[in-house]
Amino acid sequence: MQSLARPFSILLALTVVLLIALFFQTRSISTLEHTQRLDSFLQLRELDAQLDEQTLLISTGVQNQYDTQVQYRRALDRLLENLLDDQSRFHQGLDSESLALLRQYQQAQQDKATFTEEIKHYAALIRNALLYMPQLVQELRQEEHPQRDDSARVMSQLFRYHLFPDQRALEQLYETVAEFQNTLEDEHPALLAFAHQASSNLRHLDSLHRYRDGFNQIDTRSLLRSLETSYQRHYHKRSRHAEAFTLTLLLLSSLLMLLLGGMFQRLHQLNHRSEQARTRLQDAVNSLSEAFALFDRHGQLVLYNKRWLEFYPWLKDAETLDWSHQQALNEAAGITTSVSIQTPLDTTQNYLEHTPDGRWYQASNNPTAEGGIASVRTNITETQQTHLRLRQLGRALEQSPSAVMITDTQGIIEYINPKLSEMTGYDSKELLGQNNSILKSGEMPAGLFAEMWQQLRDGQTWSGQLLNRKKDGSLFWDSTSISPLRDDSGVISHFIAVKEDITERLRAEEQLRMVAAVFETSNEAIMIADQQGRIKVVNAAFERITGYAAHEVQGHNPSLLSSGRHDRIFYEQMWDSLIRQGNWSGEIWNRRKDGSVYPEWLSISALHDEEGQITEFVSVFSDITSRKEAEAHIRHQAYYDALTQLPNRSLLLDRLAVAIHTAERDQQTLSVLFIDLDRFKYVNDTLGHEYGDELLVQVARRLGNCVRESDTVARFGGDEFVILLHNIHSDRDAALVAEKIIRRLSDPFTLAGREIVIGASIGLAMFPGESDDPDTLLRNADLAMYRAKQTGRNRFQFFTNSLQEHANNLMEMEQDLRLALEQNQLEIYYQPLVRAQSGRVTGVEALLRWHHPTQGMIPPDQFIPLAEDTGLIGPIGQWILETACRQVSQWHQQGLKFYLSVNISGRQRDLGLDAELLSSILERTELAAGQLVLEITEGMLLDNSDETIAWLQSFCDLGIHLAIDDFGTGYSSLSYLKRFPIDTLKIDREFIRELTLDNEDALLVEAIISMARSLKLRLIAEGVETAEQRSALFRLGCEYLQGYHFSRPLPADQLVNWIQAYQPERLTLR
Amino acid sequence: MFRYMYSLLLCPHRIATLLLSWLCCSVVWANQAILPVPAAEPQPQTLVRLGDQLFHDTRLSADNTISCASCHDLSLNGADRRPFSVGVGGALGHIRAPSVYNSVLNHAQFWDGSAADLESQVDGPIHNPVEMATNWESVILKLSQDPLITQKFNAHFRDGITADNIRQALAAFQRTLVLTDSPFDRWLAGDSDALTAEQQRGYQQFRNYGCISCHQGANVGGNMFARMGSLENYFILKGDAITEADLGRFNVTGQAHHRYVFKVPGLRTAALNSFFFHDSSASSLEEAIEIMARFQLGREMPTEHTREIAAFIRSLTGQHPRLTHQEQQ
Repeated sequence: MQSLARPFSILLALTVVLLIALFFQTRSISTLEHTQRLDSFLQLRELDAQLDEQTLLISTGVQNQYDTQVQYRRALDRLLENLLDDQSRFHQGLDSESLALLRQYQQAQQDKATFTEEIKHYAALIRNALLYMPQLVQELRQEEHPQRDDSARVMSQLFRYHLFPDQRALEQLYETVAEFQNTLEDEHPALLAFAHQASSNLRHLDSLHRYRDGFNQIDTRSLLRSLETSYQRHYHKRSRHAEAFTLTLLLLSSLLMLLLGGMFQRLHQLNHRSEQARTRLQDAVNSLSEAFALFDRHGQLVLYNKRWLEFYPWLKDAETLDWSHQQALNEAAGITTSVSIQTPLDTTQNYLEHTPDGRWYQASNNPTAEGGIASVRTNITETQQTHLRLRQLGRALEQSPSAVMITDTQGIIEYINPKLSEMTGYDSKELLGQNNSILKSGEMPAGLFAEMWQQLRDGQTWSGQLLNRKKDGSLFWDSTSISPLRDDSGVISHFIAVKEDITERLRAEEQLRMVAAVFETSNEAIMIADQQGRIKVVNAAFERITGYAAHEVQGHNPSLLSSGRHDRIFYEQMWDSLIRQGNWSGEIWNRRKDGSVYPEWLSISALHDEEGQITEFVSVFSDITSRKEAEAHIRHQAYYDALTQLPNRSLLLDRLAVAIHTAERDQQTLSVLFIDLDRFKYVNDTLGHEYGDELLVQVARRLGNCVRESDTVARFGGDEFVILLHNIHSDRDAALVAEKIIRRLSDPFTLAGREIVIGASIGLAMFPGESDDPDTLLRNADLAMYRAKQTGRNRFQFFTNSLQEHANNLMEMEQDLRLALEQNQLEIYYQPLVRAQSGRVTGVEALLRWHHPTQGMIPPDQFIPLAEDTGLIGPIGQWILETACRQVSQWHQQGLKFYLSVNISGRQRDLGLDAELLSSILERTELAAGQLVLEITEGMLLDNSDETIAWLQSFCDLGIHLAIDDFGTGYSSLSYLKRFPIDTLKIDREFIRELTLDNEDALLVEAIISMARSLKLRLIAEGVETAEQRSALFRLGCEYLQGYHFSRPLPADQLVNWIQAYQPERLTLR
Repeated sequence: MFRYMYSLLLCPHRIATLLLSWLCCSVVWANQAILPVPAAEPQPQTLVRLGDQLFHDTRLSADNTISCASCHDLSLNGADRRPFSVGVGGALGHIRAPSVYNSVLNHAQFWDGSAADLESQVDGPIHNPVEMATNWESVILKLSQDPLITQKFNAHFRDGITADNIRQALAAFQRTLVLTDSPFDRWLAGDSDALTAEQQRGYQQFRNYGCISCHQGANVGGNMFARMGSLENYFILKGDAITEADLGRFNVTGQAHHRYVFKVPGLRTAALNSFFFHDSSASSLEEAIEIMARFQLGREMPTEHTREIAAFIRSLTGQHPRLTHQEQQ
């Protein structure tokens, strides 16, 4: 069968190919195309005829436009081109002979076209002449030319010929025109043109005829006819061939039909045989006890037995029974499978199927050689049910929370469950086959086991606690119950031990004991309340802190501890936090059993059960009374002066801010008193810091007595105090307080057994007033205090705007002063110092002058203090020394012998003026040290420090002299002077101003003079303005004088002039 | 009536006069020689648009500077304003550019008729070294690099951009360039007010002088070849200045009697021209008419007649949407 198939199919294929080839052969000849070709020939013929007609019309002059001819020509050319296109069906249907004829035809048409073009050209020329000639004749006639009639005759003859062409007429025309040309009477341009037109017309006519004849000779019609004939011949030959092919086709088709009939017969037989085999197979399959089904590789059900339908009864109603459809139906019927079913199947797949009514099938799907599936189903419901029950029991054992171990009678382990494995740390592989003694710790008494075995062998159950050992060596307690298991014959075959690890439980009990101990011994009070807030447990510390015994508070609400210091909102917030966040901590005041109130730091935590419900509240608290006290102390230190216990600067500022706020709100007046102690430094320096501090404490006490309790007395720093007077009526009240303070502070203090007198300067600033913020208020009071101190001690001064202005002016001046030196605004004036008796000049005092660019001359007492305050006195002082020394040295060289006196300030000590600098200045300016006197103020002596003395001494060591300026104005006592290396005193002008020989000043001056003498000090009187004063001083024994009486201070050059003009007046004692 | 005819027959002299007047009316020789311009034949719109784009595409020239429109200004007259067009690299052309308007009506293209139709005409300027100076290979390569135009070609032709398709597109576009509805055509159709009296006189002169024998058909010319100077040799006067272009159709056929023969130009666009004849030797319509009279008839034409004929020729110019500068002429 197989061997026959191949040659047969080859034969079939060959036949089909032959059929197709024949079919196309018969198709190669198409009647439609033939008709179309014939139609093309017809078109060609028609167009050719139309073209011929047009050409003829043109050549005879009947057609006077060529568009029609051009159209036909174009149509014919296009048609021919299409026919000759070798892609066209027309072309393909021609044989070579016809094609050659067609090309020949095309060539003939081209030739005809060429002739036509020429004909068109000459026809146009002829027409042109015919159109133009009448005009020429007209012209000749208008000019009455003698030959006008001749020309008209020639013309009419020409026209006649064109209308009725005739060979004889043409010959006659030639003659007439030739004659006309020969008999031209003159050379009239129109006549010449006419003759020319006429002759060329004939010439053109000649050419036209020639081309027309040429055109006519081309016989395109007969060419077309032979083309058609040739084509027809070719076509008929092809037709005959086609018929032969059709016949062959018919024969072959019949043969093929016969062949197919034979094949069909054979197929039918084969089918029958296959059906028989199938029936046999079906019978065999039906006799199987298992359900069986066979699917082909497309999943189509090929074969199955009745049992298959019994197993899957729903399949009976199904229409199509392919594999996937069956699976879907099974699934819909509720069949579950132990594994997912493989499709397609590679290897045999075995699994279980479970029907919803509880039947179990053992399923087996086997791949067949063809790629299909052979399915076998066995009903195993009964065995499966038993198996399932066993497995349930096994599962219970596996998942039991108790550890289970089964041993044989020899104690060899045959089974353990996972819990045991977990408990001991051994996995089952390690334990199975081992003796159960592997778990023994060796810590249990041997007698215990003997007793146990005895009991077990007697068939009783043994229970007890055993200390065993895990795999990792750690010990654990288990609570064990062992029962013997008997086989069917009643003989003990196995023992079952059920164990529970109780190590954790034992440990938890231990933990609980420890916690209880902590609870009881804790220093912090612990209280546990239930969710209603009723106290359940308290510890010993609770009893100690609150004074309540445990039984007194149990069952009560903790509110019995409440001090009543906290409001309702406080407790609400506490509960809110507890419920929201589960805890609260903070400071709370509670009451003890004895009624005393104490602060405690309390932490409360809520305990929750598994559902998140609050079960208990645990409160832990400690008594923080001592901590609170420490805090208060620290706070006090931060705000109070440690020495005087008065509020310090920070607290003052706080209170001031509050006071301003209150005063503003209540429209009250308040006043700030800034108090500075006079002479405090002196006390500190002379008696030492301990007594200084003591003084401050006494001052604070007195200040406290001067004001109302509501007012604030603060120590601002050093010897400065500030008093804040609240709610006063007017500045008069403040002034009274200030007066009272000055009075009280002027009273002597007793310190170190001595009476000490100090004083105070007070500045006052009011609110509302010039400022409204604490800082400015204080600054203003400070400024006023400063002013008070300047105007004299033991005074008070209100702050005014002019004070502010003054301060501003000073600030401005300070700025200017910084520039003064570098801009050469400073100048030194010199005032002569004269010997009282002789009137001779012995020295000059250098006095500083400032030429301010806008304010003019500024006296030194206005800017020197400023220079001292700002430190500018350093460079300025140095400049004075250098300049003056150089000037005097210069004068020395000029022969003017006098010494130089220069004022220095104590501030210059700190600003770098020392012996070294002085000696270098003297060296540079070449002035002898003995020619320099430095004038110091009494104030500097008051400093009385060792440093000052050493400083002055270092100048003396250089050989420089020192003088006290303005002597008598300060507080200096003569005893002071002894300590300083002074050799000159300058009596202040105050003593001199009113001086006469017999007034009190004279006594004073005399006393000073005698004192100076006793101290071997030279004396200079300042401010001598009159001759009277001079003589008085001279008589009182003052040796040297200075003042306007002699000369006012002069610039250097003027001084020279003055000296040259000066005539000393000598005095004598009368 | 019959008697009158008899009397005519009796007197040959009169017959001649009758014939003369008959001919002067040009019943036979001139009537209906000029046909109205037919409306352009409908063309596929996409093809016309593509042709329009190509007509203005400079990629058709060697250095991308020259398009068809460079020398055939559609807004002006479909030809060049200059006597000779300037091609690639500033090269000067040898012959006056003819108008593309009404070119479809011509029986052959170019002055010497060397192209049979609009399609084959395209190759001329493409390859002419003084015109676009390029070749199909280069043009197709350049166009193929432009996806937009490639897409347009593919939309209309199965084989995309080819020389033949470019020819077809350009020809289709040019077939739409037909000037219609001229005053003269309207007059022919019966609108007696369409022509002024002067133009009507001009038409009369146009026939009387025989101009109409060559300038006939819808395009008033363009459907035949004729010698330039049939009575006087125009080219003898040019002397040494005769160029190859002057040889005309001889260059195509190689036949001696085709020397100086040119395609008779259609007069439908004549009034729009700045220059006339193949060599641009005339620069006004009147001058061109005078030259034609002299060389085709051997006569000086009176100025009045020249003016009238010129007026008539102006009435031949039709309309087209692209011809926007017509009013300025």
